[in-house]
Amino acid sequence: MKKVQKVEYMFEFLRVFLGIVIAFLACIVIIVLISEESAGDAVYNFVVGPFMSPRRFGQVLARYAPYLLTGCGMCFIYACGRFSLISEGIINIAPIFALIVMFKTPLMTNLPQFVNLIIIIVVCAIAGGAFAMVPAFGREKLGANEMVTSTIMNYMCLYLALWLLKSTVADRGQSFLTSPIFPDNMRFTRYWGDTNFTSAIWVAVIGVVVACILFYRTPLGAKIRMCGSNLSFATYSGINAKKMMYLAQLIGGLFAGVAAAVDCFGTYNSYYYQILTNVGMDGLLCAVMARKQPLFVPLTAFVLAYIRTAAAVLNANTNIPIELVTMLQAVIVLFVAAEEFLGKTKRRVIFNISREEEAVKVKEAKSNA
Amino acid sequence: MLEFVSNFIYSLIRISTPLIFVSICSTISQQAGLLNMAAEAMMLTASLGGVLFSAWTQNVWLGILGGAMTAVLIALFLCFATFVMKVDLYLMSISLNMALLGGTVFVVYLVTGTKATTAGVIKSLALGNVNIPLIKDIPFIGSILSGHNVFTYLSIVMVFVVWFLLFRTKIGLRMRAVGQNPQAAESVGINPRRIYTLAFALAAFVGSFGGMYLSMGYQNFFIRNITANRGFIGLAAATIANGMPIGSMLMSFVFGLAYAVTNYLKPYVVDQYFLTALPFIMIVVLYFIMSFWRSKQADRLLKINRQRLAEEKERQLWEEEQAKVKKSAPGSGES
Repeated sequence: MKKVQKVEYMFEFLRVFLGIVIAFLACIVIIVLISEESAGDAVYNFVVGPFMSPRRFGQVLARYAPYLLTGCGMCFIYACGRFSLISEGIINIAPIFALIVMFKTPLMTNLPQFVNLIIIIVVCAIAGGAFAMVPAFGREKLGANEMVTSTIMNYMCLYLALWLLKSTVADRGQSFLTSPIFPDNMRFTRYWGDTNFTSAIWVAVIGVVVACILFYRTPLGAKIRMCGSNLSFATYSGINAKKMMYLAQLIGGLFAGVAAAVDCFGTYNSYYYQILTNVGMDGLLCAVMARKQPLFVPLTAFVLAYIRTAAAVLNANTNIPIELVTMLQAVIVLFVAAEEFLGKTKRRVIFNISREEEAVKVKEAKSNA
Repeated sequence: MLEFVSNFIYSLIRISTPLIFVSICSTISQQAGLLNMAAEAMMLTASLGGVLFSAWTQNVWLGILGGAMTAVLIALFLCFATFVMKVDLYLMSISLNMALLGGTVFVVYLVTGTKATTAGVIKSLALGNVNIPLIKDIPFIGSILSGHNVFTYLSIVMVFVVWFLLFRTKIGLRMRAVGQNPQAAESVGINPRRIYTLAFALAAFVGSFGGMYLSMGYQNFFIRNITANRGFIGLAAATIANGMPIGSMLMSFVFGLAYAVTNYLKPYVVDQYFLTALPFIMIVVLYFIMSFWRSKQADRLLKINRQRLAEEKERQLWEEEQAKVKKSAPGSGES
């Protein structure tokens, strides 16, 4: 039995790996096709560009932190069988509440950085959790599809955030809508001189550890997973499925809130979001590539952050547009999430193993007799 | 005043047109039991495809046909991924939305060399406005109903065509049967996967007109993110109307009204961001209220049916008892 499981794990890994490699190769082929004269230069920029300077690698790590957190949060939502995309909107709206606490109350002015950061993270997480409960409530109590609600709510969150920003803490001295610049004791410390790599990464690492423990080592995680893989079984074995759904979406919201804090107060100097950031959707992509396992999210989040930064480098240094990479996401999803990709080979291998085991058993039985 | 009102209603109809197309498109797939999250992707592809094909062939109708075909191709790709490769449908739809938002920009860049728009570079064609002969002379109603784009009239026609297709034809019956219970439909020899694919292809065909209205009627060029999340709003309209074509059309008019009101109020209001958020808040609240009402109704129906079942059982028991009494009565008489 164990051998079969091993084969299944191996094929899962192979599928994800091959999916990413195929998408990457397709990317390179397209780059070569559309850049006539400087193809080698463009490919070089795309492949090793993100590692060329501390500034660029800092950018990779700056994207990495929120992807880790939203990816883990999405794992919970996705593992319980719900498809709430609200983390996209939470990224925009959660920092606003922290901003109000920062600039409208005297609470945080003289506190040390560490305490301030904890306050920011807690406020953002609470806001995220609260917003995530709205589609959850609609689904579990009223029967409204959470996918529709959360997609519409994302746009609602975007404009509500801008409205709240404008009516409370906006910096009138700037030509565009933004908050005042964050003071040094209310933001994450920048490392490596002045790159985007900040101490926010430690929050993300702690978040992943917490997510892994919650997911694999507590009854709560086991119950959530059970609800996702077989709802009737979970209900008949006495699990309160509704409560688990609520909790899973709440956890997803909390993680998205922390990701919002990490992204807004780590990467930027003031509140910069004017459109949806796509961080929430990328979190979903991370969770899908990790096959709903928070343990693999660090790997997939890094791949995604690397590809995104590579596209940005390519966009800046050559005339190839950044949209190339968004197009390839569909290819990645198609291969990684496809149950039938390599499915035939997998079934054949498993079948062969089972047959061999059976043969051994028969032989043993014969020799015993 | 009267002129203002007629202008307002005219613009309301103009704003609602793409929403009607998308909500009808979502209606078809919803009757087949699946949500069409990829409506946005279908609209985007169709609006770019229509522009490119009409510029290439210099014929509006061929351009429209080409745009519709690109949308159908997207739907077929989605169905291939979902039903052959076994990717989760909604996951694939969401990633297609993201991919085509970038993909259309990429194609525009390849064709024109700029990323923002095809205006001025590609000579694409558009359908014009039509004056209806008799109606246009009626004072108030004429200025509302006449002089719209061809696509607007087409959208109203499409609502009834789709209604007829869904509720009066064999294919529509099959779609609804699959939507209600795929296993039961399969047991009588209907292939659900084929029906799903057909429903998605039809939905893409209808939805593509919504995209092409934006790039070939409302304007005559393609700009990046031209659909501006209308796909999701149309989806919400269809979901709130529970997949009924006429209801979806009415819901689209309601959302169009919300948009028109915000558009008209923008110059007079300082805080335009809250105004922009209002339609979305309205959609969520409306959706919750409708779902609440519907779940209550379902509960009531369950209760009534249970009661009826209990009554029937009682009556049956009573009848059996009566029969027993009757049987035993003559028996006792004999003895």
